[in-house]
Amino acid sequence: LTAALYPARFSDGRTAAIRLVRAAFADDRLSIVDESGGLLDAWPLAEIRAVGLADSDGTLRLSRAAGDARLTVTNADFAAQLRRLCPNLHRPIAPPHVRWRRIALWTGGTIASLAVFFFVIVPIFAREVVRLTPPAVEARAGAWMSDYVINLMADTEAKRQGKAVCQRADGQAVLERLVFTLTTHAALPAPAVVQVVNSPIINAFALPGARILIFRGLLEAAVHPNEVAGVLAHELGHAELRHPLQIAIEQSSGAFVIGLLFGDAVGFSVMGMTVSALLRGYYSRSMETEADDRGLALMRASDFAVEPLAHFFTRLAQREKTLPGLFSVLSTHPDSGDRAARIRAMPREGSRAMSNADWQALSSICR
Amino acid sequence: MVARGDESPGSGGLMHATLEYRPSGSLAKLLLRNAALNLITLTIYRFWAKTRVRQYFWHAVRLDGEPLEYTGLGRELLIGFLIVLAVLAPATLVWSTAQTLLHADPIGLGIAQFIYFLAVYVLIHAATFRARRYRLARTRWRGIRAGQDGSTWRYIRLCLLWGLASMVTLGLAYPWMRIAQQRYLMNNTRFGDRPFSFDAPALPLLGSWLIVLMPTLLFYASLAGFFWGFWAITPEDTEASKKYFAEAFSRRGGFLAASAVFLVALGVSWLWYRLAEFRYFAAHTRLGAISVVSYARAWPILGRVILCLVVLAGFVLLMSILLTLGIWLVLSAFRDNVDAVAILPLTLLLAGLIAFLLRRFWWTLIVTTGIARHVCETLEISGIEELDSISQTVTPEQKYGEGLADSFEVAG
Repeated sequence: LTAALYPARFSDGRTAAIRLVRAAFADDRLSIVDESGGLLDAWPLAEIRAVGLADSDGTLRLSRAAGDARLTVTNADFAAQLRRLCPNLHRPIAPPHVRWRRIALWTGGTIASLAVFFFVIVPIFAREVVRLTPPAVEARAGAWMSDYVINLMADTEAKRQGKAVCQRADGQAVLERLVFTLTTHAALPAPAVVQVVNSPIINAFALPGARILIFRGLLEAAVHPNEVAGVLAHELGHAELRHPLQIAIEQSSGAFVIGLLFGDAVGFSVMGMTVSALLRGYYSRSMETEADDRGLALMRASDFAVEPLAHFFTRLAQREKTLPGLFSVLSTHPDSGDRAARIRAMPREGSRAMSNADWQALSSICR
Repeated sequence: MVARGDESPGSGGLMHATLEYRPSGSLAKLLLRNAALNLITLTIYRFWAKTRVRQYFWHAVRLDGEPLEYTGLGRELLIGFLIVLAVLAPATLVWSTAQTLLHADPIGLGIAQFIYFLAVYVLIHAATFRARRYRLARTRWRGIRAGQDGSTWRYIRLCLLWGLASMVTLGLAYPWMRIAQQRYLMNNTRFGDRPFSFDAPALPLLGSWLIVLMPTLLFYASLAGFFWGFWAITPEDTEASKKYFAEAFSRRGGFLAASAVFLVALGVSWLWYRLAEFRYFAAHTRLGAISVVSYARAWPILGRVILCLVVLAGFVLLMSILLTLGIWLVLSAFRDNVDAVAILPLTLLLAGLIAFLLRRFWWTLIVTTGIARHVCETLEISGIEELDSISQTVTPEQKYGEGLADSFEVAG
């Protein structure tokens, strides 16, 4: 090997003092000697590591494995020799107390516990909170949310005229009779409050505290009174099972944790929303099926024919066909075609939910 | 011996040196690489990105010719984050549920919000304390480790008590809180086996602090005055209250201008106070016989902030022009008479979004480097020959941890 003596600076790791030294390669080791020739240290070449960053002028700083001593190399020939002779110069130094197996364990454990958190703990927690929440508290939360949703979704023009909620007297009377008939056999957490929102959206949903909002668009899209009765019965089914409160709790806790997971980069809140939408699909599909069952039972108990509802779902299914495949994954409701098929398999008995005159009155509740 | 600063005759033979700021390698390249990897890994890379940026800045700071060495690892930050997540997830569950259920109940919601605010306050201070401990434990100079002792709970208690005092005194007690925090932090900080020490009266800081506090109080006082005027109207008199708001609304231009002036003044005075505080803290900090004096000023830093804002604005403008041109070219291939001016608002919005996502990049590149260089080059250290006698602590670094959470930085 080369017998050249290279100049360098050395701190022994015991104190912060630094001194000028000479270094030489000998027998797979780097000998560090002081200016009078006394041996200070001898580092095996395989254990020599570069620490920190290299300077722009090529200055290197070395350590022996994870040791505290530092050797500063400014001489270019010396640095070149070190690069040639030290096989592990640029391998990272792993501190002894952190091992990759432990990282893998922690990461796996975290993924597993997050999965358990989202798919087991959050739903169970939400269900228990729902069970323990007094109906009066639920009703108050529902009233607040319903005011908020009406204000958010009603037509601007209707709001300006103070007609965000449609309540023409004769239509309102028909609606109240229908709700009374359907709820006779239901065990609701609070007396049902059903309102028609002045908005062209074809939808209806249940909020906590048995508050149900039907949108004008749904009344306009329905061709038979039992279609509206069926949708209302479905929403009453949700209300009876206290699904809206459960979903509100699951949603709000899920979204925040997802935001936390992806760091504070604002661009990724889109990601959070997407994942949260997927979760919403997961949470509510089983609930929708439960509410379907409950709604159909309420229809049968009120002696209303369910057949028209099947037509309604068939029309919805045709509408859904025009949507690209991705949306059906994101959709919170079960496949409309399947729902129609289930209803058609039921007995065909039952009557019309209301007279023609009443149906006229209900359809024009927003006039 | 390595070259050192002059021995000044007036200071009892103590040797002086300034910190040097000598970066190596391209920070822009490093930051771009980090941004790209963050994007690909859905931000999971951020722990390693942060580690590399710290390595860069630590290495740029030189004391007596040798750089600081940052020995932290990305995986340690990751594990710290996982631990925080494990603690925060259940807490979040409780908080969001309380919010959902109590929306209609103002008193219950108020209590829940107070508890939440308190928890956030405690967590922020706990995280700051532990993050500082982690960073010091991962800092070496000539192979010697720095470190921080002390208890997180005692630090939190101190912050809570002084935070309360600051609130009660409308912000007047803030300098005392800062001194108490700094005293606890510095008296628990060590380099090798040598402890730092800090003590100073808070009163000299009050003057600088009032410059921040006065406009703030004035702003809140004028807001309070506005609502006071509204409350003074009898509730039944809807006409009078309508008139009151209409009149206020007609003066909104003046209000917005005043708010803008206030915000700028607040920003500048805050920076000015921070620098005054930094110089004051530096002057009263000792490491054995070693003392420091800082001549850092607010103006060079303010200049960097303004430069950063100008660069961001220029970036948005250039991006939107390029995007408009690109879209116009593509559309022109399919259609005649494409209106480029109609596309402009959309591309301006898009460019704004890109600039927003890249704000950290520009900020680090322009402002952080500016602050680091200015603060280093204006810091004068006397008595550096005493550094040589500082020894490595004999106790291993794990001893200063309180279980697993302490081995990792708890700040995300």
